[in-house]
Formats: sequence, structure tokens, C-alpha cells
Amino acid sequence: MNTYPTEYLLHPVPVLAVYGLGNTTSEQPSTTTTTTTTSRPDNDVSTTTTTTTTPPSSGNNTRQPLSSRAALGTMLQNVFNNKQQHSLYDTIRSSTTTGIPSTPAFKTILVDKDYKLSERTPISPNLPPPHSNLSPLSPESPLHPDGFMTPLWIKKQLELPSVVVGFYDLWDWSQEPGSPPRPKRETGPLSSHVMIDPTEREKDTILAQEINERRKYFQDKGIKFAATIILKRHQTDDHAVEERLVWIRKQSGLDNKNSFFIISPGTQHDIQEFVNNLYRNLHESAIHYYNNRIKKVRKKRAKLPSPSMTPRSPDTNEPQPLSVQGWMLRYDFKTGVFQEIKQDIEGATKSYESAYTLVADMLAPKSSITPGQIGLPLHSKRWEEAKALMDCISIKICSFYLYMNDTSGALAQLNGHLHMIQTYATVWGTGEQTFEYWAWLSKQYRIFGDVIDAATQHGIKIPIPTSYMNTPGLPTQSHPLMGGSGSGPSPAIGCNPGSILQHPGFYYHLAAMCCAERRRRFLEADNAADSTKEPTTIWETLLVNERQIDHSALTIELLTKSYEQFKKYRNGRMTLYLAAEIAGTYYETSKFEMALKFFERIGKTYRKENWNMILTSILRWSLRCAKELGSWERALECLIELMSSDLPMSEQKRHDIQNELMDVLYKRMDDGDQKEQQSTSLVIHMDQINPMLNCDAQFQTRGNFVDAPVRFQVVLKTGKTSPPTPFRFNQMRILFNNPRYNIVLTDSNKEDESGLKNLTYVDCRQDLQTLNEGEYTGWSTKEVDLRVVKNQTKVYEGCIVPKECCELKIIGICLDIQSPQWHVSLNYDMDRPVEVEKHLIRRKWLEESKDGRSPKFTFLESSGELNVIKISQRPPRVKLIADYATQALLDEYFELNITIQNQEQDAIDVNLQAELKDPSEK
Amino acid sequence: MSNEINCIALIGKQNNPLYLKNFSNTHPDLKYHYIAHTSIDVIEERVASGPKNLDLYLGLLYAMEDLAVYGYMTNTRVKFVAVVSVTEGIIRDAEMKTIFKKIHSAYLSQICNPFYNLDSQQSIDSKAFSRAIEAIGANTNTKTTMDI
Repeated sequence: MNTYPTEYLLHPVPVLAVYGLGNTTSEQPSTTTTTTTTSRPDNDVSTTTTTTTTPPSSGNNTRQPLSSRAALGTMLQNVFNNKQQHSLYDTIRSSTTTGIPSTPAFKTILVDKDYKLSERTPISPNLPPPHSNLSPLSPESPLHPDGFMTPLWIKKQLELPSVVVGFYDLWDWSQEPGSPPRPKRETGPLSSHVMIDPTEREKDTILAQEINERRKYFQDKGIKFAATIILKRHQTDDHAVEERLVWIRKQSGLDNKNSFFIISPGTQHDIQEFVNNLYRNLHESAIHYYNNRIKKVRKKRAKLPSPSMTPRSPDTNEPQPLSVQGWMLRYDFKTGVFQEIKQDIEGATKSYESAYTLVADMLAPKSSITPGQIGLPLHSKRWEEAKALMDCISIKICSFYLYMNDTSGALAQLNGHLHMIQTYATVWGTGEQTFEYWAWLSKQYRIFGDVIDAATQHGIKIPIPTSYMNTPGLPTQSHPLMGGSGSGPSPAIGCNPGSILQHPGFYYHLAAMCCAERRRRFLEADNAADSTKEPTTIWETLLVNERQIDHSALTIELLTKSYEQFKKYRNGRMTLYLAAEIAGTYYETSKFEMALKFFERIGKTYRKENWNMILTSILRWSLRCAKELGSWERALECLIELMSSDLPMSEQKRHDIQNELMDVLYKRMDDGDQKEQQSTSLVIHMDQINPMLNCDAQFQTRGNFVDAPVRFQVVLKTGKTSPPTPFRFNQMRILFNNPRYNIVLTDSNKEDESGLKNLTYVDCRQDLQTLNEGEYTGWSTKEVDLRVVKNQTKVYEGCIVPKECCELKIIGICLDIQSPQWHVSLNYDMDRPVEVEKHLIRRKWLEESKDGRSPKFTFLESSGELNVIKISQRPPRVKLIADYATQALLDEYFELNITIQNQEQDAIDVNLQAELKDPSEK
Repeated sequence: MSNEINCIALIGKQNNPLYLKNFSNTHPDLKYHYIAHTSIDVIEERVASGPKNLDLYLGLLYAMEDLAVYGYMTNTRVKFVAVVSVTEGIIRDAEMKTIFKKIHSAYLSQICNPFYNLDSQQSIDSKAFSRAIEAIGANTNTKTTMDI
């Protein structure tokens, strides 16, 4: 049920039978003198034109490489055989565009020299010949008594030649052992009067007779026969040989143009050219042959009575002979096949469509063509045959429409077919609730995808859905895709989106969705069924078979196919969606590692482009996978990101996430042993994910002096919805570019409400201690309230006293969560370039409230974020006062008093340098 | 209009979602987020391969399962996407265009607000804008039921 007969789906081409090419196996010593046209031992009959064969014992010749004759035979065989599978697009159309003369497609079969067609000999001379062994009328036929079609019939047609070509050698004296090489005979100006060698004439007569016999035999069967004479190299430009050939041709009753060919050894290209030429010359005869077959079938169909005249009595259980409708179907289908062989695609479409209607009607619960006839019994042999045939015909029609560039026709056929089976399926009891239906639907979409894929590879363009290119106002009713359904010129343009052919990716995706549905339906059915019972009904057998199927692998395969198509059509974002589906399917089958890999890969784009709803979903899935895998680091990463307010979710869900996060942090029990284990460190870079809270740090001023206190503020800002309940960090580290100023604030474990106000100021300027031991030796520390809750802005103001000139920078803030098992730190890198948006915002500073009122923001000069400060040496506090008269007189002492006042506590060494200048000299 | 609008989505020029409203009860919001996101490629492809004086209305972008996705792009490269359910009938481009024009004017009123930051990647959370979009959806969809 899973595959269709290949015969129904392959593209047939005319059949050409070839014999006489010989079989050059090593056990057959073929020498230059061998002229046996058939070298197979069992065919080595004396009816050939050969005179002698060199005995196998005749020495050194056997070790020679392939003789030119044998090599030619092999080459020809290879050329004939190199294309066994043909596609619809291999035909004339493709090559006419390139300007090279087209080469019609042929299927070549190699037959024996004395190939005979199967004969239906009458039992007695007075009786008509018996029916074919595939006819429903022959008792031994698989179709007896009421079958209508079998793939064997097509197989048979593809083994029946429409043209036969025989290869023969021209006898030559060199074949005669021991005979001296004959001189080339002189041909005078009157070349017809060449001396005729009697031996040659004798051999040629035998050859001509043989050819003639074969010609007559095939001609009687309505099959074209052509002979090809293989010349040896030295015969090629011999005028006498030409004469002999003319003579043989005339004697054997063949005409020059397309019944008699000559070939001599040549290159691969020459051989290919010869075969192409042969195909071109014989094509017409092949078409003629199939035309005759069509005529014969049509004649038989015309003789059938009308099906409405022969209603069938439905009340017997005996197998009835094939109904008239069945015969009509048989003949229409046969016509279609022959038309297809001769590449009459338009005709074949019509015949197949007729056959399709007939077979569809036979499957219908009640026939509308043969009155009173009910549909074929469900799941019977004929029912299965009819269903497969109907599907296959539909596929053929689809591909033909595509071939004829009628994309909407192809899609209409698919949709019509799906719709029809859907209606039938409800009657059959294999409706949408069964996995059978979805399996079937998936298959239809998949094959349709394949059909379009093949078509596009041969230049069929996927139409652009709407005429969006047209300038507005220009009516485009003439577009074949517009308007649809033949309602005449409609005033407005539009289309039915369901009737527009899209690229194969969409259909593979549909197939995958159907496959997933099939799995769901199967699981439902499987849960309901008793799996231990031996299958007794058809349904139970189906169920047993279905259990063998790896649905998820099928779905993933289809999704991957779809993925590749979308990639090909540069629809990168769709591939992300498909990757999510693939990941979901992996999850279903407990392949969590694969699923997680996929989720991780696609999450990046969604994060970058802010598609947070999708990212939330992906993180939730990743979390589930990570938990299944016991990959707790990954689970924590997901949980932390899911705490971000940017990721939309309900309050309850957020609560759950927070609880889960706490559970993972504090109650991880993956290993059974309870002994104290090393805590695992996990660093999460908050600028790479959606942060659960924002963190900024700034200095109050741009510059300051050594030994003067430098104030800075660290602002923690939570989102509107997260965290829903107070979230406690264990410590906050403030990192400077000079580690000596680093500060670590630890949580004070306070529980009072004051730390949870919307706007909270935390003073960390005073009472800092220096740590003397531990990891953070030398750091300043203070216990403060490190809880945050949703919709909160918490400002920590600190103060450092720089000891030297430098550029001081806050390079990072780390919020640490420590539990016996974990040390998670949320790192905020302050060194990163500031976002453009922040540049424009005026700087603000939170001022501590003096009298119990809430703190207030005041504006600072400049905008942006200031996390760098320049520390310079404070200029010494020295006062300099110069006292002098404004005018100096010539030749008089000018009195200048300079007072230097040291306002510092310590003594200062001062150098004084005074320079008097005339301001006009400048 | 014989087809119901299932979803209207606005996408910013950085391909970030600006606004998404789900009118249907057949599919979850997530599905439409995926659909809106995947239509970006189709819109970009159309705009890149189209002529210079391309109409803002980009027509049917693609159909997936039972949903048809239509697109529109403003001169500032803000993309509008409308998802309609596929039925047997024909969806007229003129009607889709009218819907997009309405969305466009709602968007214009939104950006005329001096406090709205055009370059922000945040989604639009204006109540007036939501009301306008909901009205477009509700209006189209009630007309549908009246037609039947």
C-alpha cells in the first residue's frame, strides 16, 4: 500500500529492439577474422553469413585487446543502454530550443538474433486466436474475470518493440584463414563494370536472404525493420564495397533512407551520432506503430455497448465478468499509455482523464455511469487495484499539466483528486479519523512535490501568485491565473489562494504535517486496540503493519525535503520554522539531543530580530529537552532567559518558571549521593540573551582628582512582569579596570518591605570593609539588600577614592546566585558599545532622600552612559597674588610684590618664574 | 469579502515584530508569529526583484495549509501582513488593498504621536492603535458573516 507500481508511474517511450551486436566475453575468442554476428555460444547457429570462426586454439589472437568489431559492438551496446529511465522532459521539446536537431527518446532492448514475437496460436485453425494472457477473458490472467488493469500490461508493452534493428557484418576475404590479402580492385571510370568476385557475391546473397527473411517477418507483425551493416575499417573507402552494399540492400527489399544503415568503427562521438541518427530516422516508424495500436484499441472501445444499457445485477456473489465500464476504462487507459509513448501528451491527458473519471466512478459508492452498480467491495483486490490506478492516473495528469505549463490545471487535478477520495473515504470508513487516510494524503502531497520539483528542474516556472507587479489601475483580467472559475471578466482582480501552485517545499511541508497527523491517529488507534491479540480483521492487520512504521523518521525526512526546497528558494526564515518542526518531531520521539541542537540553532535569529513570542516557545521546548537530558546548565540558561519580561507569558507561567528556577538551583538531585559536592559554576552573558533585568553603571562626573571620592551608581531595573516574586541575588560584584577598587556587595538577607519599593536607593558609600581572605581578598564589601522584584528600579550608590592618576572604568557587573550546587553569575559587560538609543537619553542621578521621602532623580549634564572617569592630580592649593602699579616709568624701579600662600597642610616646594612682556610685541 | 481575516501583523524595518493581532480562534498566536516572520523573506524577495515603482501592496505572498498570507510594505520599509483563511472563493486584491490602506492609516496616526519613537524596536502598545486594528478586523469579519 505504500508504493505504487513503478510501471504506472514511469514515463514510457517507444521501444527499439536491437540484435547482432555480439557479446564480447572473454570465453569467446574474438579475433579480427571473426565475423560471427552472434557470438553468444547458444546462438552460434549456422544461419549466419559467416563462413568461419577461428578455432579457440588458434593461438596468440586470443590475447589481443578487443577487436575493432567487438569494441564497436560494445560501444554500441553501451550507447543503446546508457539511458534506461526516461522522463517526460527528455523529449523533443527540450532540444528544439537549443537548435540542435532533436533526438527522440527510445528504450532499447537487446534481443537475440532469431528474436521472435510471442504468438497466440489458435487452438484450431477455425477459431480466432486466444486472448492475451493478461486479458480478463483468459482464465490464467491475473485479471480474470473482472480486473481492468495490471502493471504487467505496461511491462509487456515496454518489452514489445515498435522497431527492430539488426546488425550484420559484410563478409570479407580477410576472414578466410590463410587467404592472401587481396589487392584493392581497380575501379575504372565505368565503375559499374567492376569485376564481381563470385565468393563475395555468394556470401552477400546469403546475407541479403537472411535480412529479407527478418524484414518480412517483422513487416507481417506491423513492426518496422532496419538493417545495419558493420564495415571493417579497411572496407570503408572501398568503392566495390559500396556496390556490394547497394546490391544487398536492393536484394533484401529495404529502402535507402531509413531502413538500411552502415556503420564503421569510430570514436565514441561517432557512435553516439550514429545512434542519434538512427533514432531520428526510425522515430516516425515507431510513432506509426503506436498509432496503429491506438487505432486498434479505439476500434475495440467503439464496439462496446453503452454502459447504461447493460446494468449489472448486483445480487450475486459470484465474480462477475468485467463490466462495460471496466472495458472502457481498460481501453482508455491503454490509449493513454500509447499516446504517452509517442509523446502525444495532450492526447494522453485526455485519455487519462477519461480513464480517471471511469475508475473514480467505479470506486464511488454508487456508480453514475453504470446504473445500479455499486462501488467495488472495500479492501478487495480489485478495490486496491482501482485505488492505486486512480492515484497513479491522477499523478500522471498532474505532471502532464505541468509539462504543458498549465500550473493551475495541475493543482486543480490534485485538489479534485484529494477532494474526491476524501468524500469516498468517509463512506469507506477510512475518513479523517484514520491513520490510513493521513498516510495516503501525505503520500499524495509528497509525490506532487516530487512532480513539481522535476518540472521546475526542466524549466517550468512557479507562477507568481498575484499581479502585484502591475501598476495600480491597469486591469489585468487577461492573466490566466486571475479570475479563475470562468465567471467571465470580473470587475476586480483576485485569486483563490488555494488554486495557485507553489514551490515543492510547501507540498513537502503539507505531506509532513499529514504524516504527523497520521502518527497521532495511529497512536490513538493503537492505544484503543489490544496489541496482544492476533490480527483477524483487515483493520487489525493494517494496525499491525502500521506499528512497523517509523512515522517520525518519515516526518523528518519530509520536513528536511521541504527545508531544502525553501532554502533553494531563498526563504531562510521559513527554514527556521521547518527546523522548529523538525526539532519538535525529534522531541516527540525522545531524541532530545537532536531536538535541542535544532532549537539552539534557530533561537539566535528569533532573538536577534526580537520575535520573542517564538523565542519563548523555543526556550520552553529547549528547557524540556534539557531537563530530559539532565543538562542542567542548559536548563538554567533557558530558565534565566525565560525570566525576562520581554518574553511574553502569563503571570502564572512566570511564577512557575521562577519556582522551577529555584528548584533547579537548590534541589537538584540528579546524583543519588548526598555528600557535599563541588558547586558548578555557570556564567551567563546577559548581553547575549534577553536579560531578566537591566543593569547600568555610571560615574557622576567625567573627571575627578586623586584622593577625592568618586561617586558612581549601579542601576538594576526589572521588567514590568518579572520577577513576579522577590528574587534574591547572593552577591553583586562591581568590577573596575583596576582590580584594587573592585567591590563585592553581599546580600543582607533582609525581609522587610522597604527594599522592594518601585524606586529604591541603596547607599554603599560608607561602612565598606576590606576582605582579608577568600576569593575576593582585597575587595571592599558591604551587606546590602540584593532582592529585586518586578517593576523595580534599584540604585546602588558607591564611592571609591582613587589613589593615582588614571582612567577609571567600570568594566562589568556580575550578579551571583549561589546555592550549594550552583554558582550562577549573570554577567553584564559594561565595556560593550553603548546602544544608540541610550546615547540620546539625558543622564540621571538618583538623589538620596533626606527626610524619609522617596528618592528623586535629578538630571546630570550630558547624555548617554558614563562608565569612564578621568582621574587627575589635584592642583596644589597655592594662592598667588601679584601686586604692582599699572604703569612703569623709564629709569625707575618698578615695584612688583608677589605673595605666595600655601593653603595645604604640608610644606610645598615652589619655583617662581616671572617674565615681563610688552603686550604690543605679540 | 468572503474570507475572514485571521491575523494582522506589523513588522518593523529591522524585521522586528511591531504588532500582531490574532482574530481567529483556530490557531494559537504562536502560529501567526511564525507566519509573519516567514513572510519577511517573501516580501523582501518581491521588493528586490520587483520594479522600482512597485506598488505598496504586494499581493498574495504564499498560502500555507488553509491560510493565505498577503503583504504590503510602506515607503519606510515597515511591513504589514494580513492572514486570511482560504475558502473556495476568490479573494479580490482590491479588497485586500483596502484593508491594508486602513492599516496604513492607523499606523500613520500612531507614528504621528510625537512620543512614539520611530526607531524603537519595541512593539507598539498604544491603546488607540490596538483599537484601530481591532476595528479593521472586526469590521471585515462581521461583513463576512453578513454576506453569508
